[in-house]
Amino acid sequence: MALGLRAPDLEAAHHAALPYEQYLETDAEQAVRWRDLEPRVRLDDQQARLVSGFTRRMPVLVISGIWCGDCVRQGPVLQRIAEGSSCIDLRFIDRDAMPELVDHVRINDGARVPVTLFMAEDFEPVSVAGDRTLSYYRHLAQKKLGGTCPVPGAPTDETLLDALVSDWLDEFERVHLLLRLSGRLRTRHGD
Amino acid sequence: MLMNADILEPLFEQGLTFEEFVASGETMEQPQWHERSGQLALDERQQQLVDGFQRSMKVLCLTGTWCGDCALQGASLQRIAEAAGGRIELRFIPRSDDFAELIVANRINEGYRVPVTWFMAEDFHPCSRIGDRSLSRYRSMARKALGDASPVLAEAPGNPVRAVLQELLDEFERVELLLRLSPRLRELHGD
Repeated sequence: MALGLRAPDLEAAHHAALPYEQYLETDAEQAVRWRDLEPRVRLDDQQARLVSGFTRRMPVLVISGIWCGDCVRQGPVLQRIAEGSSCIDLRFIDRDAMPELVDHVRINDGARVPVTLFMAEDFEPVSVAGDRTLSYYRHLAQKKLGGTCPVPGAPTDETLLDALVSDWLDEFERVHLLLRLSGRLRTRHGD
Repeated sequence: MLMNADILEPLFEQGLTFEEFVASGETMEQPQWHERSGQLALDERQQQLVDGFQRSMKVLCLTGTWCGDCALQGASLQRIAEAAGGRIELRFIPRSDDFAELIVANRINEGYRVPVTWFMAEDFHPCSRIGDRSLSRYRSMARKALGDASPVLAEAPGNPVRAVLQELLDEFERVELLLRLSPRLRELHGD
């Protein structure tokens, strides 16, 4: 395995991946659980204003499992954020479709999902995040200090969904500011 | 991006403690690290959180003695590690030719940026990689650099130095919960 992921690796993976709608079409039965959550995921006015103000193009790749409860809960959140900005190019790829990619982002000795890769407009790697956010881990720990991947159909309360939106939006904002303030990109775009 | 245990363990073993690392810098570079450390003692609530950590954790920071953001994050990492009373082992390695392979493999937005920090399980399996700057630092930079054109909507923190401490503590908490809930580690420790 080569050390580290390079832009050409990420560009190829991003091109092989699918937009949200097409990704869900790959398994209509599992997609029902993602669809159930969609109407309950929302950005408030300030969050929507923040995302709509993004000016740097940002490809984002989610290594996912359509069957996975953690992906069910976080995938629609990522999609809702991406819908708020034409700069975010969000794609999903199944964990088993590109094992060589997954080898670079194993977490705690496991091929965990979701793992989200943030890139610059030219696919230069910027950030990797996953599998769960802090709010999600607090929720799980509080619940029972146990379990692995929750049952996909288990209820998800609104407070947790709002917290997940906030957690993920923080990383989108951080990456956007990194790109917005990047010397090489400011030179390229003259801003 | 996350590397693996075979790569990270020998790098960790070559790493320096906080005091050793700061002492390795130029005389004029050292005061900023000590000054930051003096500003970053954990408050009671933060100490209580760290007192509850149960898993051992290795943390490796790729950094530079000359770098202001590194001093801020490095001192924060050290304060949190000290507060954990041995459960968190922290090492620093310099952005030097000795670690060229790691540095090249972990470029951020095509730059050899620091700090970059890996959080690992007790057996060096990586759980997270963060860097270079935190969200609050990027927000602060954007306000200054972009003025009225800044896309930042959040209010500035009352204490920007301690805001970074809290952001790093959030990541320590997230990784602690990831490890605490990990089935392989729960089996290993019988908890």
